Amino acid sequence: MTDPGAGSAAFDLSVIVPSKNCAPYLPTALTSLLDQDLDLGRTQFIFVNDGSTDDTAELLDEWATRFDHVEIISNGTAVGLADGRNLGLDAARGEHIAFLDGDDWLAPGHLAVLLEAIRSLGTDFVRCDHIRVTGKRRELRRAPMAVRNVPIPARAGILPVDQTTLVDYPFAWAGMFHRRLADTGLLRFPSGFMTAEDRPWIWDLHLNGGTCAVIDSPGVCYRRGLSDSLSQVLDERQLYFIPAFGKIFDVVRRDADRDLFLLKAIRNWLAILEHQAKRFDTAPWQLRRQFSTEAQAISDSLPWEVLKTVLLESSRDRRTAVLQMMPHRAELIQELIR
Amino acid sequence: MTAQQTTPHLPSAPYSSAAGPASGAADTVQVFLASTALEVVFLAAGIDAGCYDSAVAPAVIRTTAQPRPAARARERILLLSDNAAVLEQATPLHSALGLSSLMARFDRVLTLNESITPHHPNTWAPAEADLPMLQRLLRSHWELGTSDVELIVESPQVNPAIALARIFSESLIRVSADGLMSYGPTRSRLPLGMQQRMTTLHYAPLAPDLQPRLLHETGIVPVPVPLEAVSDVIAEVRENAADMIDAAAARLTGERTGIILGQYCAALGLITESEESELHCQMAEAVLSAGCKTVAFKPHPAAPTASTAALAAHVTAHGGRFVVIDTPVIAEALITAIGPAIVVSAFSTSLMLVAQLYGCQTAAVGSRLLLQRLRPYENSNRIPLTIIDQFAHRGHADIDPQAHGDESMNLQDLVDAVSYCMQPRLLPAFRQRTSDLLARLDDDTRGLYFTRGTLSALDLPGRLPRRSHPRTTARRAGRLGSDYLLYRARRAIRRSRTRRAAERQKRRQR
Repeated sequence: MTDPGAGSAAFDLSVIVPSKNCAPYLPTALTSLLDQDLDLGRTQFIFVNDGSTDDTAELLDEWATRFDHVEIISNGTAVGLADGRNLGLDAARGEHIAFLDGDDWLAPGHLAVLLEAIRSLGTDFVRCDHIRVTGKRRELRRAPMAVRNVPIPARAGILPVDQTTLVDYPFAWAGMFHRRLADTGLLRFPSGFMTAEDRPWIWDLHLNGGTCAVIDSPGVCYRRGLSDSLSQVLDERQLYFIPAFGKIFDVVRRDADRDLFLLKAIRNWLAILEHQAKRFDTAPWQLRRQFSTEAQAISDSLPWEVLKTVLLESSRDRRTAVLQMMPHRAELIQELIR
Repeated sequence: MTAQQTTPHLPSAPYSSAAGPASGAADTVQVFLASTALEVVFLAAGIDAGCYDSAVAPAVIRTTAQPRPAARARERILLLSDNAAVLEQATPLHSALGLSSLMARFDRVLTLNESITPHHPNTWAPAEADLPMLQRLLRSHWELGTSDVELIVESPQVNPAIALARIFSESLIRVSADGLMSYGPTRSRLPLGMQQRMTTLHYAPLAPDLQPRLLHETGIVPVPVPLEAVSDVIAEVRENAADMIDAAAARLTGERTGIILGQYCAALGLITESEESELHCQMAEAVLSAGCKTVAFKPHPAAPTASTAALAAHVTAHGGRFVVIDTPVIAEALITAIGPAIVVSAFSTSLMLVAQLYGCQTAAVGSRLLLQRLRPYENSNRIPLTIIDQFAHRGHADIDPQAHGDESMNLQDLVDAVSYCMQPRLLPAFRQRTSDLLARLDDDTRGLYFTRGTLSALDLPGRLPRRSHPRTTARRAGRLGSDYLLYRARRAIRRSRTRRAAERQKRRQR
């Protein structure tokens, strides 16, 4: 809670930890933060309490004393993960920035390894693997780039079209970023998004973020299977993936190599439409209609020839599931029958 | 950023999968994977020619495709993999005839089978979750320490190459390709994690002016291994196995000899055994009509033991002497000792090799029959057959590496066109040239190398005329309709299930 005074890069690292009703898991996260081999005198911790109704606030106050430099931002009403992280970015003064969700934790020394890597490689950001934890079950999830520990152009993480690449690995907490990305606004999440906030964020980062490197590090432990997790609820908040892709298409359209990347973005769009269409089967009809209308609007905005090519190359299941949300349906059906 | 690795050594965490990021200071261990004698010969030739002393960066960080001198590897390990079906009875490669001095180019020789038994290398596919542990264990077991590991593999699209590439997940990968298949497309799509780490393709420049297309889609850099180096290593093999080879050659001195190199076409399912037998008889005729008195037959080491009685009878009936050479050494070494007047085979790489290295007269028999029988179209024997067929002027003829069958057709164009038709998704950039070539070809040539079905599926010149098929249209429309109805039905079921579950939940809560 002390202010080390004015001056650029007063801190080496700012760690932003948004939490909402994470009381059962917060002590684990905070304990792990103390075990990162960091110089606590040069690390700034920013805890964002996003409208929690449990003991989160008390826990944060109690633990704050164990860190040298802490800022606690409390929101009376929840603003969501995206804006929560943005508030953290506004308060961050470190030369580098990292994120951690309040219900996850880090392996010992992880942040020190990332910090050393991003400094010595001089890249704009770094990415790392993570471990998915469900109870006692653990699964290693690798960042989809096999060339490691060397600087690569961030754009190299986007293609090929039909394989999982770094833009399909959008986790904010799986890496570390130089503050120049925050200064240009690249690190900001789209405001007001309750879900899917990381998709346009990762696309912008890889299109315009300069250089990156994928690092081997002890890892982030990402907790899955939480019963009140947002991803298991079916309501309007789940529809944010539609404007999220709207933003992705916007940023790709502005790019010099848009033809290359549009194919990839469209393929991802169809994939997520298929997945969400199945999930929204059981939703009330008003929600389904909203889904349909909004998705159709996005599909309408895409170059028709390219969309048609990708659609015709998709599997039968995918074509059937997304046909409702495509423009020029009569022409498509003719093409499929021919 | 330069292509050179300039990261300092970072501390390795207790359970990180690798020993730590690569650094300019960390050393490299090169692991050469080989499963046949010819592969070992080719690797040795590559080492002699200095191919493995220079390196190219992977495509994603590459600034130049020119190989640049790399730091000498701390250790070169030859990792032998026995892939015979009956592992327990196969002759281990490290005691194979003639290879003993070749092993001296490597600091250590290990056997993969010992480490993974009872698994068979071709079916060894470890679980994803076990990979970090396996790397740790293999590094310890093979004493690799924390060095960077560089993998050199022969067949990157099958196990054990895939398994090793997955386990050593940060290792850069080189491919050593000693046959004609290097001029054709990759047989199957490799996992992206492997594609991104491909650096160089060390190939045998058997067809002058032809560019290899294997792994072209990964951005791999082709680097030819000078054939003189291969020739020197073959001479060394001959030295090592001098006793046995000279004994075999002694049986054949005094008269003009022709050698037939057997393959295993019937075992591959390409032709029936009786057809293969007939093919061998035709090869014998080619030998005899070249003025040879003795017909020597060397069966392929991987071929199942077949009866050569029919062939023997055929040769004797035509006034020749029939000899079976069963010395278990590479054919090329035998050929240098015997000095045959002609070498005949179906589409063995050896034909091109001995023609180039020793100027032997050669002949290819049966390429037309085999081209017709190859199934499916993307069978990876197609490119070797196409090349041999072109060089052999489509029939019984000498293979002249300097001349092509059809002057109006550039061999590279033909090979690329066939490659595109085999793997259109991997080589989309070749479509225009393929289309141009097909438009130029006459029907006979086109029918020889391309099938109507493939051309129609790809909508290329030479395709079957498009006709309206009302029944197909109706079937597709019906299928689309039934797809949609099925989708609606499944959706209704899902909805009713969720509704019932929600009602049950409500009842319980009351």
